[in-house]
Amino acid sequence: MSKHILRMDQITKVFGKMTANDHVDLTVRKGEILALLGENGAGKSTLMNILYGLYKPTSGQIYFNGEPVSINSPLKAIELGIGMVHQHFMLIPAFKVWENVVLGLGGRVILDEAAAKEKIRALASEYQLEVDPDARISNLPVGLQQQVEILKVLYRGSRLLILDEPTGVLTPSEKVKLFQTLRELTKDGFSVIFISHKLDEVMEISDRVTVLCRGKKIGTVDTKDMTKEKLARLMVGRDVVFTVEKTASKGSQDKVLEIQDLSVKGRRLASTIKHLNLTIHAGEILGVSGVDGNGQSELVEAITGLRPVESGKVLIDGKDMTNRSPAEIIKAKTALVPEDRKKVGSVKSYNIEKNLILRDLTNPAYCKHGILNYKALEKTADEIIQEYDIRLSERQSPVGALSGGNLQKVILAREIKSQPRLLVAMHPTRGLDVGAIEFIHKKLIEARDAGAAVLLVSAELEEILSLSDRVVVMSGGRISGELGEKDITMEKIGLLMGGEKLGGSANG
Amino acid sequence: MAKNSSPARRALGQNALVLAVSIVAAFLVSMIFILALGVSPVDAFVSMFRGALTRKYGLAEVLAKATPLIIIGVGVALATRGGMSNLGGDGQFYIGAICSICVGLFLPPSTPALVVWVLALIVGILSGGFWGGLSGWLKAKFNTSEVIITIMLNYVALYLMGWLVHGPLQAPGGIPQTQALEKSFQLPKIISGTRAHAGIFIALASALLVWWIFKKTTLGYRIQTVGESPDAAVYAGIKTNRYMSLIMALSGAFAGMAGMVEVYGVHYRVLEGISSSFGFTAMLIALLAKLNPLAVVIGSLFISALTVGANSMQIDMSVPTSIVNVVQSLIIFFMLITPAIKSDLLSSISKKRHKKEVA
Repeated sequence: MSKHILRMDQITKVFGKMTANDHVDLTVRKGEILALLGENGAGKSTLMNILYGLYKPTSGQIYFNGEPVSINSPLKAIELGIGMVHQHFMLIPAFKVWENVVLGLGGRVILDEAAAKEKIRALASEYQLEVDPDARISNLPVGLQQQVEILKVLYRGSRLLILDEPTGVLTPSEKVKLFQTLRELTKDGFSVIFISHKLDEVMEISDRVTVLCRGKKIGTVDTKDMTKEKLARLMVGRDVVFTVEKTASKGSQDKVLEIQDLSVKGRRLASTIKHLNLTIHAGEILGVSGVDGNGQSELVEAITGLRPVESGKVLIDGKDMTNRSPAEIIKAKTALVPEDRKKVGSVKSYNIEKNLILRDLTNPAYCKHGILNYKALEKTADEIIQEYDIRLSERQSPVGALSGGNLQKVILAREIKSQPRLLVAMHPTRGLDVGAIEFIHKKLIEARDAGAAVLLVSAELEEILSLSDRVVVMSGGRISGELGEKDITMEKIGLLMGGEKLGGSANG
Repeated sequence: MAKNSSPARRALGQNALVLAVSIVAAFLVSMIFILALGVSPVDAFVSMFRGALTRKYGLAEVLAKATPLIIIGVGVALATRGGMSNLGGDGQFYIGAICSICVGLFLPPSTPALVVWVLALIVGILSGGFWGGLSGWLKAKFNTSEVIITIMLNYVALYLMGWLVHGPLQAPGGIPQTQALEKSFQLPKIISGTRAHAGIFIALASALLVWWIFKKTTLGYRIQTVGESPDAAVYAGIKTNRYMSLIMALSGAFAGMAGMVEVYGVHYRVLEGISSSFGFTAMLIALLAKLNPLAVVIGSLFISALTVGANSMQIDMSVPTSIVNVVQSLIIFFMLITPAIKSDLLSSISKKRHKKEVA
């Protein structure tokens, strides 16, 4: 008997000219959580797709429970007992939980609904998953959908679970719940491969860490011997500054954005904005913190003209811009790094040049009398690629081919190049790797120092802590508290996120 | 870096290859049908080729037939690039034809021809644009499907035209058609004794115009952005609702223009059956051409050549012209499945190679 459930030996995968995995070794012990850490494009996904039978390795051998195996399809992987929870869930929203769980199992013509539900309930109670087999997926919050995915894997008898960036979509409390479940599972002898580029999480949940960098394995280490800084160095290959270098804000009194008594109808009740007041001055970063879905999106959309304002006022540079069109608000020198960089922030079939003028079509440098000057654009694009270190395989490739970090750099470059008075950045580093995050933080501070007022919406507390000059916390469509630079601490923000008042009544 | 092969150019090459393979395959398969009629496919195709491309009359006929297809086709390509489906080419064509002939019928015969043509062209463009824009406006306002509205408006236009040529605009003599245009108002022939007329230049200019709009202008950029990603378009400050109307109006304007050109260049009057479902054929061509306006020109010439060739094939070999529809449909069929087959083929080849390496 081997103590390893999985051994991947000298796995190499070549795509055309690119080597995505270069002689990578990976072992997983029984009952452990192995974190697979690496920047975007380090080869994590390729390696896992090989393990799950989606790709065939160019060379190398996989051993499962000590036996050499050849995994040529996901079906074979499932048969062996390898289950994968994808980053983007593979659930059918219109189906119920139990239907999703048994989907694709095949075998019989007639489904034994009662037996399936029974088995689901048993599994759910064993691992404290709050899954009702009769619930419809479309009605479930993201956290529960993920539990269904895990249940699906368990139902198929997997002993090794692969979780691809599982926390990206979760709220803090959902994350806690997920980690509990994972610990529970490893106690029962399940093994987990936890793919992530978030160092905190890796430190918190894993037993060992395997670090990949540019397709090569850098090493495997015991988590308890590591610190966040050491891991980051392994991952990026250099020291990473966690606390962003930033001088104090110059504290201008120049009000760039003023929001007065704003009410906006939201997607849900909790995100409906009620009588909100807010001011941002030139040269400061205002962090807007809070659990997603408490009105942050609505606030940003109302400011940028993408959502109607019901009452109240939005003043930009002293001018009333309430309910103006997005075009007018762009003209008022407002830049926006939107939440959804793929669908909203860029057009994926366009190359970099064409994406650079997305919000700048009236700029006389690039178009005169409705005719575009691609020569001038190409020059600007070249400069931006240099300055922002945007990596692309081919200069003219559509941006759909770029990694998340590179795409976000293109968007940020476009918005900052417009020399905005107000820069609104919504989750600017969500899902990006450490290197890209560091770079984007630097650029945001540069924009601030150039005199822009920056509205930073983020669910990452660390990002808020390290960038903001002032912080407001949103809860239920209201501002539950504001913290000046000296008061910004994780604990205070955490309290406000739950809608509590700080320094409240003495009888508590 | 591969030398001078931008992704766009590579895609163009691939599309051309797929198209060529599809056309060859379509001809091969249609041979079966011709064989079934007891005719030698080789003789049939030779007759087809001769009919369309070796005689002056055939060539002229190809140009005449391609003219409205090009104009409507580039309009369809424009709409589709803007994310809208214009299936109303026929209706917009009828409206353009009816409105533009009125210019020639009601202006005094002494009016200079150029004035008549320019006015008629403008009227054709505006009326076709209105007819097309209607469905875009309805979509922007009430979120109705432009697919259904344009198809329904085809019938409205068809019956409106029917009523006019049976009633108010009917020429004396009992035939359901309008009076003919003055001889001086007719567009000049480019090959005498045939139907090929100067409208082909309008068609070529239309194709160049649309090509240029997408290549160089902010208008084209905006239209394309609305089509590629409506969310990004809103974010970019583009008034997408307004663009829906505009895109459909522009597309309709081309079809309306085609109506004018067909009336002033070929028929000299409006009559029932003036369009042999040009709208749908143009749609097919726009798709064959992958929405590239210049490729629409080539596609229109090709489809027209097929049609003309089929006529001669029918006369020479008594193979029915409907064989052309079979060929057309097969081309589309093969175009749609070729990419799938190709990737399948590639992966099976690479698998085999892989096995060899492993062994």
